[in-house]
Amino acid sequence: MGAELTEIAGHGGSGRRRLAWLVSDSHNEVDAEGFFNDLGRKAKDHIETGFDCWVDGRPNDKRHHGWSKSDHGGKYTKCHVFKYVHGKVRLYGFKVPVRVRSDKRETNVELCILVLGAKKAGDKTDPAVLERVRRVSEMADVKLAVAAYARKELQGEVGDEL
Amino acid sequence: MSTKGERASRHWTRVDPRRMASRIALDFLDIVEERLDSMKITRADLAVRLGVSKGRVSRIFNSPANLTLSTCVKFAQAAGFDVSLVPYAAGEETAGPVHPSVFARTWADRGCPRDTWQLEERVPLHSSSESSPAWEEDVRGLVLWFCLSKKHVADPAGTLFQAVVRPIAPVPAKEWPLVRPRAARESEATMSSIVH
Repeated sequence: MGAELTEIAGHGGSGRRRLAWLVSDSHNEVDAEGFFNDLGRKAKDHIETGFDCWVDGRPNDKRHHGWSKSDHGGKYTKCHVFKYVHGKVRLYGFKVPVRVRSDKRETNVELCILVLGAKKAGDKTDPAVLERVRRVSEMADVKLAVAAYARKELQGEVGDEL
Repeated sequence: MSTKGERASRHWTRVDPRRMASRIALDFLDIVEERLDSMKITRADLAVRLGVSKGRVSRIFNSPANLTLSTCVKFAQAAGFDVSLVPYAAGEETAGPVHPSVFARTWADRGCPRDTWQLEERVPLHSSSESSPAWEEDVRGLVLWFCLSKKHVADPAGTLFQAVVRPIAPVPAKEWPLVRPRAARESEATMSSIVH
């Protein structure tokens, strides 16, 4: 097996945004799903509340955020993090636009693919972590996994821009 | 936590009432904390105001299971909010609880009715400005202006109701950035025709 995506269910929103785990047995750094499953209930509640915030379109920097073009020279604008600050928990991923076809309508969906988890104190993100996420997002088998997911689950195509 | 399933699976909060309660408490505390941050009130300050230890305040923010209704009221009042407990028609199993900010904005959009009389007097806002009475546009303009202005956010004493009502006179219509009330536009048009 190379890489594949597993949709994170249970966060139904308007359908504009969706979440998925990246699962891979060939990339050691890809551990987001296992990391999350090992968390206690309280930490899961905090993280899943952050998932809901993002899916529903609510900005809340204490629960989740991305990086803008002015951060780190704009290298990590696709990266995103979900946080439980008090528990020092972070889940990092990257966002991909996906074109969806359903009921003869075409619509754009933003998919956040979670890659790795980390225990971290303090506010500043280590750029090395973001670089790992970015590198993973550029890997050929990961791109294939995204394309396969789009075809199979979303019945659409992976797009370049939202 | 559901994984690998249909998008139409049950929302994670519907699996266990304790998790639903946790999400509701976290939503509430997020709003309170955001307001306290905007008022430059730290958790230590809040503890002093409430007469409890800082550790107690931190425990409540981090462990929502400890949140009682009376604590909700104390926290809300410390942040300059009123608070209501709102039961509403059950939604779909695939959706979580409606975020309180949605209720608050909807209430503001209706002109902040304080009771059933006011609610019944205030007809729904129309999408077309041509069909809406002038007073509705005035209210909508004021509500949007105050919801989005930094002045409102930074005003520690300013509950939304106070903010909506209090500054009507001193705020010139031309300073409203989003919705110009029709009455103001008509007044300006009249002035313009007189001048020219």
